[in-house]
Amino acid sequence: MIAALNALLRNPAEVAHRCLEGRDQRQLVGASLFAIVLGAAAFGAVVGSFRGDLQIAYAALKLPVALLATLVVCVPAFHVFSLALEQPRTLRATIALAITSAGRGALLLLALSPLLWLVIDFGASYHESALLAASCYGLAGLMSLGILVRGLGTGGKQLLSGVASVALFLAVSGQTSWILRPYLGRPSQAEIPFLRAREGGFTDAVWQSQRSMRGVYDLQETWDVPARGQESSTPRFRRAPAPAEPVGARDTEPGALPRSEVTDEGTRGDAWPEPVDRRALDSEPIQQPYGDTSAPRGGW
Amino acid sequence: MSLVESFPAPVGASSEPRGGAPGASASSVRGKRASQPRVELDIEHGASWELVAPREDFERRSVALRVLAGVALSAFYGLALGARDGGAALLWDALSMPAAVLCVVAVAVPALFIGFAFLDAPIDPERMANVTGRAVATLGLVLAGLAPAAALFAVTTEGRAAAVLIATVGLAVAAFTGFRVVLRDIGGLLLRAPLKTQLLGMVMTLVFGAFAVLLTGRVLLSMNSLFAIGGGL
Repeated sequence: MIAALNALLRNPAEVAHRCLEGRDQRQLVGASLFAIVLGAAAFGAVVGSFRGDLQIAYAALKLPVALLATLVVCVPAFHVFSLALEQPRTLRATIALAITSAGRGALLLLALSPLLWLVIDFGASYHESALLAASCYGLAGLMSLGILVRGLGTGGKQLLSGVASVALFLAVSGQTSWILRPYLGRPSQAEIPFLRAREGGFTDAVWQSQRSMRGVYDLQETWDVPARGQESSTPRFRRAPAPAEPVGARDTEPGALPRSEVTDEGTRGDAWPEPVDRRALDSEPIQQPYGDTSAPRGGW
Repeated sequence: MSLVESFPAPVGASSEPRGGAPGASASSVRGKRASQPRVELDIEHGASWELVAPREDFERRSVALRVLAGVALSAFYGLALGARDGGAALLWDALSMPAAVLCVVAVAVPALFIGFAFLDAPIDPERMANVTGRAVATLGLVLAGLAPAAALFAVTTEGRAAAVLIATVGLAVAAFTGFRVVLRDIGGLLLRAPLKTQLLGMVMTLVFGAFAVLLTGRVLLSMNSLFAIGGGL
């Protein structure tokens, strides 16, 4: 076990070759699974220590589950990517590569856990803790690529396969992590939920971003696309209220937003329904049902 | 069943091969990167590789098996998308995906072959069948591999339009891998033709790709699949 864990850290190329050739796969995969459970649970517990109490146990349970669920969902795709790009592998070798890669990353998570704990213990805010935890997770993900990339080899097809695999892993990992929130937890909350209400997700965020890029802002989108075989009773976007002042009044003001042009397709990028002093809005405290104004809704 | 592949050597390893006869791909890679120490690995491959591996010889049974396997595997992707609505949607989505693949095979591939015949390209029906079988098997395999991820996103994504977007991305990735096989294999066959035929043949293949995309979209929309719900896309 110790030798296998040592090899994961010191010689990723050798580990990748052993996975591909089927040498010592059992030891490597066993050690990696142990590392995943231990490393992710320790890191989860430290993240949960921000809120304390039951959140420590919840986060320690949820982080390994999120990581393992991501692997379960991604491994078939990794395998078919390599086959489609003419890199013959057995499914067993692909599974071994994926698990050892995740095991390497989990060992780094284990190493970074004390650092994160110290920062949280020194009184880091919600945002600082979340940012540091996300950075640690990202760094561990980068390190885990060491084995996967060496297992793919070098060349254009291998690069394409690697990019596709990493993109899928990031997307699936984002979605599974989102489903299993919260990890940090809010100190002001009286009850500690095991899972939070969905509040959108990774794909919803991607969808909204691409609409924003096209200049369509979904402030008033109803998201009621009709289900199969049903007609929608309401338009997909509500018509925004007309501006209060005469047409063209705001166009002359320095720094003012252009006049609203609203269509049934939504409020376009050059539109703003009401004159809004955004600085004033920023300074107002956000009223949240949780009573905690320091933590955003839909956060960690 | 195994293949010999060349990989960068691990830290401290000898550059000498560990054993096994060097394959053609290994020697070509070694020629390009002579300065970098490399090792040759004897990598096993399974039955799934046999499904998508390139073949020179034509065997009717093998081609039929590849097409059938590809069509059947694509149903898993449809099934994953149908999990969003459940019930009858499972069946409709599971049927719509193979129907789209079959439509492309039955309608677009013969049209492409007739086009090649007009150009007098050196592509006979057997070779065309080989290319089709491999492309359909690759497409089906990739769709089946992406099915677990598609199910996750289809079920857990809140907005329906976002779910359709993700399903479209998965379908596009699979279509890309399938079309890549067509482009590579047809490109290899056209190498023996005059330059003008090669160019026209490649243009025709690209047009075939666009037509296949449109045809797939038409079938999926007409079958009231998850994609049809996103008609507002």
